[in-house]
Amino acid sequence: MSKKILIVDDSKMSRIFIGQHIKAAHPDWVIQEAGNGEEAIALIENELPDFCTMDINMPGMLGTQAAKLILEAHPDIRLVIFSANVQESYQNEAHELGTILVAKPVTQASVGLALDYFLGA
Amino acid sequence: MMETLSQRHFEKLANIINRGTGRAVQGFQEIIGESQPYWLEKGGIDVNTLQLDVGNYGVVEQEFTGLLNGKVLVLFTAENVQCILQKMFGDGMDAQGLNDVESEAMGELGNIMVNAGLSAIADSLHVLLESTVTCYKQHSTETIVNLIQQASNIDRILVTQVNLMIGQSALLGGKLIMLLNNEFNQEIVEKIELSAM
Repeated sequence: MSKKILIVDDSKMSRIFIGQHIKAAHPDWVIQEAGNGEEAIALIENELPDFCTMDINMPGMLGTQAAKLILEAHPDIRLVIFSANVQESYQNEAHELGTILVAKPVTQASVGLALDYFLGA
Repeated sequence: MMETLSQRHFEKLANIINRGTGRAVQGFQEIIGESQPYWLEKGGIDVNTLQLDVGNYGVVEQEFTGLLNGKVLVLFTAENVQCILQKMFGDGMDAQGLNDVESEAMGELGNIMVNAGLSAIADSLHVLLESTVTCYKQHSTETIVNLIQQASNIDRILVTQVNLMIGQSALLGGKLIMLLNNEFNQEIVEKIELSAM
């Protein structure tokens, strides 16, 4: 069944690479993109995704802040923090949000971890 | 109350950052880190002590704040930047295409390397370090030296060699340079003292 995923990252390159790996595994999934947390929140208000990947360091609010707001409003979305910023503080924050932090770089393996989480593997 | 770090403190910090570079290495798989970090004082900065080749470099810059404040630069020669981009995007992309993606791609590569180092420091010292988004520009060697010499509130510079190998490429050498103030508050001195080597 086709799913919808929102990729939130200020790096266009990261959005492209994450999208490519997802498309390779799930060609039928619909991919949306946002370049920062505020844009992601606005997009989700109009169209609810099933899944979301969220970077941390972006212009504007931190990705962890955006993730908290999104998950409070839409607890059914499966969201992973996908970032190079792997400090324990952020890993703990992800855990408190009920999600996981997947470490960049964007590779088949790291995207696979996110997909496993989305699909409950 | 501000304190000045001893040579032993600086060596501990260098080891922590070195471990962080190793963390980036593990994450990339394609990247081999081989660093021999060394500290310089601001007054001793020049092309020779930084071990820079004369020419242009792609420079990723990121600032960080918290109990430690400073700036990190990741440098690759313009020639190595082209090699890295070709390896990342393959032979299918022409020179103009590579030029179009250079800032984005090198910014993200630098972001991963810088954050690995900062995360290692933060975890080792049990502190939170906040960082800015990365900024990427090409600079001449002379401009890089001037940027470091003119950086405000910076006294100590840690230079780490990083060597990348992407796919079957030759080793592509670069540098990770951390700029720090020489004065630290008592809390961070104690944390460095307590950190495991």
